[in-house]
Amino acid sequence: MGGEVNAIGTHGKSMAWRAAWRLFLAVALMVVFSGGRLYAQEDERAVRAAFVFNLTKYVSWPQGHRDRLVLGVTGQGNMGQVLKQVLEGKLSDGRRIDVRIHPSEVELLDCDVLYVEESSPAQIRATLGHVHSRAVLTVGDTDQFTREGGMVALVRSGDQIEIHVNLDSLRRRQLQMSSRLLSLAVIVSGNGELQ
Amino acid sequence: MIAPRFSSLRANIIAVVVLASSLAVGFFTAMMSYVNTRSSIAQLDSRLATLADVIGQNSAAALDFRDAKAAEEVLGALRREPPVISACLYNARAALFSEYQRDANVPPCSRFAAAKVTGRDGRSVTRDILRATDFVGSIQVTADVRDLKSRNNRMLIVAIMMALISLSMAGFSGALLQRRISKPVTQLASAMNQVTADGNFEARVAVKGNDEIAQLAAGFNRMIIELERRNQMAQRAESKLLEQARTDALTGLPNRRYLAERLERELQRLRQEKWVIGLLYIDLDGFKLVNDSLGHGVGGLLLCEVAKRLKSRVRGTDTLARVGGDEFTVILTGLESNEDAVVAANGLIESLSRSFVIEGNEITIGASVGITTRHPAVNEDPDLLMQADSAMYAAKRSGKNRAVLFSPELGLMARERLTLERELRGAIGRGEIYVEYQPEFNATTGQLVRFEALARWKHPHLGYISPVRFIPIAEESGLIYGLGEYVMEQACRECLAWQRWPNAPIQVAVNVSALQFASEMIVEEIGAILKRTGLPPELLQVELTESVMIGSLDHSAQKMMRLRSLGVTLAIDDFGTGYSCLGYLPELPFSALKIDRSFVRNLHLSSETATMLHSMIELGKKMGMRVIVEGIEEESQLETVAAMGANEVQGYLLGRPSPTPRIQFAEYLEAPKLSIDGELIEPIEF
Repeated sequence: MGGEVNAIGTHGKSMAWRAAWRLFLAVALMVVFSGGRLYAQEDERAVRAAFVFNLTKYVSWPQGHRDRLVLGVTGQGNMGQVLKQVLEGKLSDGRRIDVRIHPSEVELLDCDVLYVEESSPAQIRATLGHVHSRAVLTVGDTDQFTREGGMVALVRSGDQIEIHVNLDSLRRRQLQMSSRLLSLAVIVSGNGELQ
Repeated sequence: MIAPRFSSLRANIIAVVVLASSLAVGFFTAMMSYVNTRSSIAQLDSRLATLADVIGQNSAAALDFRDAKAAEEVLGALRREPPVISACLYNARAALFSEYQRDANVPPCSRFAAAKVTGRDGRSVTRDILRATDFVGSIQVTADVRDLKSRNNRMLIVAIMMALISLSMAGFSGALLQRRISKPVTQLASAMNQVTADGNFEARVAVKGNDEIAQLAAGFNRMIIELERRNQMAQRAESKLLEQARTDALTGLPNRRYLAERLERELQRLRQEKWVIGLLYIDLDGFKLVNDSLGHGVGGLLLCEVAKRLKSRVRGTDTLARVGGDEFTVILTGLESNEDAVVAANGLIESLSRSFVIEGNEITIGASVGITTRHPAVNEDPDLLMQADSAMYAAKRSGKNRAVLFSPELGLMARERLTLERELRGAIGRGEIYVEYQPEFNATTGQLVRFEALARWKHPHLGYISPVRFIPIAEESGLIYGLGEYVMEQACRECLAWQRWPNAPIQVAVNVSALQFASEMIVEEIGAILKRTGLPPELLQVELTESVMIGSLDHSAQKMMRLRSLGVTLAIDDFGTGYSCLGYLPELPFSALKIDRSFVRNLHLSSETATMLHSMIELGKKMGMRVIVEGIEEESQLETVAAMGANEVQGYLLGRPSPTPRIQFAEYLEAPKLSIDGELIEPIEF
């Protein structure tokens, strides 16, 4: 799976390299995925990691770090490890990603993105409560998350991952999300009611 | 009447117009079609690129978040773009992410972006999809060129149809143009044909407009007018020349050429007609004298008058022509016999015998006419003109002023005459001409008073040739001048020798022909001979015939006076034979009158002759002239003549012509043959 990640990260090199990569990837993927569907086989957490990375590119923060992007991960599960493995040190719009698993309350205040994994509504609310006054992009993995006031939820729907966005929460924290992303997203408003 | 070359001109014009048009239209169509195709392809490419960019940008998020449905929706927007048949969206790993096909016939996208496919009828554009600088995938948009092609083909068909319409319009206008160009040319050609083939100078070409063709037509018309003018001039000149060629300029009568043509025609006609044709050859007697003494101007006027008189005497059907200086001919047609021709000839002679008055000069001439005829029955083809000419010479020789009908003998004579003339030319130089002298005596005393010099010709082969034969030839050929001078000089030298004898002075008489006398220089020539020889003028008696009076009497009289003033005596020779017009006698300074021998010869025939002879002797004497009678051959004649009172006598009885008279001098001196009272004392032996 590491090859795929590398493919994303190293793009932007010369055309020749890209063409070579394409040829290589085409052959590699045909070998790797020849048995079944992409999402069924792929590690869902890696996809979520890629989604998180991509999300940072569609969102703009009112203030915050200029040179780094701090990604905090809370909740149960090993998503923190995956994110750390995949995204640590990568550049998003020139900001180096700094992954912090289970940050302290002080560290939470320093986060730009907070990934909340497999948490109960109460835990979610508690976590959100810690960052409620700051412009932190909060990302969860259930539709519950956005209903509870989280900003973006990467919700598994069949073999796909839907993006749920709570526009009110985004506006409150003065975060702006690209309309291109919004056009793909399921918009949720208020404290969790579907629109 | 369009000649093939003009139809080809027409075809050429149409061909040129159509060819030029088709080149232009074809080039234009091809260029338009090419430019159109190129521009629509470029347009398509540019549109495809834009579409790929826009769709790609709109698909970026879908790719990022693997939203195939959203990508499908975005690609579905291409339905609005009919030329786009397919769009393939590949993610960053070059795997097919989403695709769009316009319909079922469109081939599906390849699964990987690396396999770039461009169909035969498709035109495809592949663009990378970038989010900021990150590569998120690629999109390939393919459009159907068949549509474009069919549209271009439709345009091409329209263009070709337009081209065809243009060409037919060009052909039509070419035909119109051709009519404007080649029709006038055809008209020109047919007009030219009229002129050259039919000689019709009326041909004109209608001139319309002011273009080059019209100018050509106008130029053609001017040329035809000029040609017509020149043609008329040429015709006039030609007919004038023809007229001149057939007409004698002086008298306006037909000339020899026309006469020959006319004679030929009449002879042709004679084959059908039963009549006789007569040809008269008229030669004026004494015309040369008039010309020499009064000048050519008067001569010309006289000829005109002669022509008038002759013309008034011939019938309309006859042809009068002037064939030489003083020679005229008449073709008489419709005669019954030779006699008719003779009657006509005599009529003409009679008409010319009346005197003419030209510029105050009273002029008398005569005419010698030769006649020849042609009968239809005769088959031979003699030269009528030559026959008439011969007859005319015969008339001249037999005394002039008469008509002679041609006979075969005359033809012989004419040939003989030619021979003699040729021989006579060198006769003096070869010493064949010599002089004989015949004595003349005083009829009363019997004394020798003079010798008459007579020209003689002894030809080495032909022998002695009579003066009767060669003198007329000398006159006609002009040899008479040299001959006369030679004889006179010889006579003068001889006469000078005689004067040594006791019975001197003895005169010499020399004949001067009318022709010689007509010469302007005759007085000076005689004076020169007298000077050369040293002969006292009073010893020379110049004897002239009556024919010297032909022409101008005044002129002749003047010359005679000048001769007389030299001291020479003048005598009329052959009196009573020629133009015996007694009226002139008193006006002329003759001192002697010599009666023609024919009177003496005929003395015995009738008493009338004797009466005439006597009267003439009386007349001469009464006018103060010595009367000489010649031709005495018998005693009786001598007696009679002496009794009639003649002053002097001459004849064979008294003395024959001799080349050496001096030998006989003794004879003449010692025995006077005549008695004082006119009786013969003693017969003379010769």
